[in-house]
Amino acid sequence: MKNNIFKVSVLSAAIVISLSGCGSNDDKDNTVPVVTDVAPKAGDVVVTDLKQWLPVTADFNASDQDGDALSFSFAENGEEVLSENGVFTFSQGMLTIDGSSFTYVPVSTEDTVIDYTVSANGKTASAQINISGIIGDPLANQQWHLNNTGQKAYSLSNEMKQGLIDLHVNQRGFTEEDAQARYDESFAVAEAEELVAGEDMNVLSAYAQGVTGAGVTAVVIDSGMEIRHEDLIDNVLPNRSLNLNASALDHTDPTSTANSGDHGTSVAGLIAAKGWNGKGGRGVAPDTGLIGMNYIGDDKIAQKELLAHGFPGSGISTVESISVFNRSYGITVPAFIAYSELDEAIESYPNLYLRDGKGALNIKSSGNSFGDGGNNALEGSLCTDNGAHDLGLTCYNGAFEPSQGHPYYLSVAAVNANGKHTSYSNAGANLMVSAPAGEAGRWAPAMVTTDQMTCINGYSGFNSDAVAVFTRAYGEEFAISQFPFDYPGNEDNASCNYTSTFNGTSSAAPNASGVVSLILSANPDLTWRDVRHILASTSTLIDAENTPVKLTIADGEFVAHDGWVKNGAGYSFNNLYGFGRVDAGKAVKMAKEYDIKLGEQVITAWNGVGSVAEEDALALEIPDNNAVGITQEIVVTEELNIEAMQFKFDVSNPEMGSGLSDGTQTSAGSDLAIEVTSPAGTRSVLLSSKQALFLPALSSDLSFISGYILKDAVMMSNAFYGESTKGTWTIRLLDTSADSFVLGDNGGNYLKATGITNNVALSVLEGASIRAFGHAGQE
Amino acid sequence: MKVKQLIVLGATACISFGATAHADFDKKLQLPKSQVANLKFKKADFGSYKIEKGLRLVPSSLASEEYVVMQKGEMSVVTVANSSDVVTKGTLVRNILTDNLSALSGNLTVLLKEGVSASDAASAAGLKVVSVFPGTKLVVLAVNNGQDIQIAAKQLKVSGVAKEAKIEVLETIYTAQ
Repeated sequence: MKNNIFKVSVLSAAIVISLSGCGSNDDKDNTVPVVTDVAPKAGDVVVTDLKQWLPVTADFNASDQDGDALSFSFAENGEEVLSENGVFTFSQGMLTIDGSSFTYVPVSTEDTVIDYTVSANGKTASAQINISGIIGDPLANQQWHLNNTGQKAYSLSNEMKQGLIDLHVNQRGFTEEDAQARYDESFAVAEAEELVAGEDMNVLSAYAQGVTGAGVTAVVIDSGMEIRHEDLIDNVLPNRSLNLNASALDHTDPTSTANSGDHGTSVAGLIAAKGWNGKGGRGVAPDTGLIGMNYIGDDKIAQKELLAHGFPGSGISTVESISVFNRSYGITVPAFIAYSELDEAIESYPNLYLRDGKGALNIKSSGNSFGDGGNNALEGSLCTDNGAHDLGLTCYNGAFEPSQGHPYYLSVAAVNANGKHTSYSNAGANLMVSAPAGEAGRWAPAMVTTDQMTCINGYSGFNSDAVAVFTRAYGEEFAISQFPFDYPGNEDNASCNYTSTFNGTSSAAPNASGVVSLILSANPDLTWRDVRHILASTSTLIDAENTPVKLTIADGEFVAHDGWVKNGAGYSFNNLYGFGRVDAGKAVKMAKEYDIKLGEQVITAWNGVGSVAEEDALALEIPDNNAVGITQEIVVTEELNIEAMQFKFDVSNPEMGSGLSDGTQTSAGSDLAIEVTSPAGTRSVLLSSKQALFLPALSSDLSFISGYILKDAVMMSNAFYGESTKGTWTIRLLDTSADSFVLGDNGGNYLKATGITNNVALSVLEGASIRAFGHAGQE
Repeated sequence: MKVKQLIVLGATACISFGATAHADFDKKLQLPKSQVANLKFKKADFGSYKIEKGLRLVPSSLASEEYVVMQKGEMSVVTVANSSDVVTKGTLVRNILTDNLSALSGNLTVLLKEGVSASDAASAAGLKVVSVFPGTKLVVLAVNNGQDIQIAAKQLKVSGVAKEAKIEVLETIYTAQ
């Protein structure tokens, strides 16, 4: 097609020349002058020294002496390239036109040539745009969370498929043909289901706005951070990190001494691996600074909790531009932990005192126990046996952890490369947003990020735990085939400084931290509450068909999961995703244009009844296996625009202890469901039932409180964001089942319980209270 | 990191390679799961911690092998015949949820009530002030030599100067996700 355009161009020029020749006669004084329209001119354009994914603007070398309007068309390798919504997409980049200028965004680092044709009044001329010298990062094109092109990110690899075929042929008696057919089909299905282009954080749009995270610093509170890592070192603030180990010789170096992977190093890379240095991949905010603290683990120094929240002594000043504290950690106990004012005071310090009072944000992983409590699950097989798995309900609710019960921590859920919920990400009304994280990197992509350097240490290398476990189970050859990027010898990872199998809400949180860093880089005047507002306003509604989960109860049904709910203020919320997947481009745009005044933060006093309101305990029995349950109304007279709502409960059941005399545990905790309906009519499910409330309530210092399912238990819901507090709040508590069943874990749970027995004693609501975080008026 | 939670140490399992495996087996190649580490509903002394009065943490270079229970970095946990009843800085405690052994820092992190100063709180329980954080109601107090931290915590509670106080343990209860 391009050749055709060129031919037309040449032909037109020839005609013009011919006509001009005819006009050159001796009778020119006697003839009417012929006004000759001259063809436009086009010259080659050279564009050099670009950065991959960053836009560069240049002028076409084109003109028309007649002043006719110019229009441009393009071709690459002889094929015409047409625009879609004004964007011309080439093999190596995208181009848009603005008058006689163009903006080009290189998606790869390959040199390229684009043929362009300028047209003016039906006449044309052609030349080339030569693009070269693009600086990039070799693994960036596998980082689907940044720019999802449907890439595999080293999952679903040819090596993996061949390994499975060989395993079936050599160990399971399959013929080569049968095994090949089997895996051709299953890989094709997986690729269609798991690899969906466009399901990303729209980071390129943020970069296109000139925002790459410069000017702010992210603090990685984790297991460690390799401060000399080749792809982190340029963003690491020298001598600012802390080694919190009591025995450390150098307290400025939190580099982990583990040899099979350092969680914090991989987390740090997702936030701010240096961009455009020709190494590894890049972080979401590739120019954001990094400070690390090795907070997770044993034998720490005193006051570690305070230092990890930026208190004086941490080296973090109240005036520096700390964007986030990333917290990819949590506690996994099948019990509800009581709220602590002391903990709230510590955990809110970054928000209330840092960045000149505008606040830094705590970004928290929501937890990986949607299915169960993980390895060594203290609840054993409860969530398989009570039906949570089959129903698609969360085993652990994010609310179990009290740090997720206030708005000072932003809880982040994990989504896959197909834009849907991961197999593990905790659900809950406490969620703020979701972010990419992926699965294990075999049948679906995980994260490609930094790993401890060398093949001697790290998730990739000779000490890869994943390879070791698969080796023990299936042999070394098979194990290596399943993790081709992480095992030494992969050409894309020659020094094993990167991994392709990192995942979990531990990955979702730093991806969101990167986006928050971009937001505050774009507009440093924003407060931490402004950032929450931007996230709530700009995140992407994903998995639109996510359906409700309805439980059948003896006399009716209970909707244990609502799917997406649009609240009275127009915000859509889902207990799997919060307000949706973070959108860096939209968030940065809103940050740049931000003119909303949220005003002072207002926190109401606790307002409620019964034991949590310093009154005598209520004695409201929750009927067993009953769809009506009990209802408690609380009237709020104060009018605020809601930023978050907290709900506090005491719910007792005398059976809730260390197990029943017959060796089983009561069903009371598993059966409890709680929903709240706002004055505006928005419903939020705080507990779905079928969750792993297997052990008695825990106090804030983690001592068991026998006889209680919930004691001083605070649950936050973000579902009412933007609504008014004023009016009647309706709280409903239900017991959703009369089932007793055997636990399939053969006593492999904390209580050695053999089964679950339906509660004979009724659970009792002793108190309920609510507290609002918000501001006056409606924006 | 979720995938790392699949990593199993010292576990045993029987893995079937039968050709009759479920069609979806390939996507769920089963890895062995560990046993739940602690199957007892133990009584804690405070929080989720049981005080291990018969154990001490000493530098490994000073530990006699016959008394060593376990290594913790460059330190050794050893049994001691003459255990002290005083719970104070350096006392070892065991987390009943994880079975992990840690030492006490000797500090109490305290959220003061309105109008109460750090020195007021310290005086109320015979503690010393370690850190104050202007603008907040948080302070860190510490026991003096030979002072029992559990008794001090109770004195703080009874005195009414603190909204909440926590005995600091030198482990982080959280794990990577």
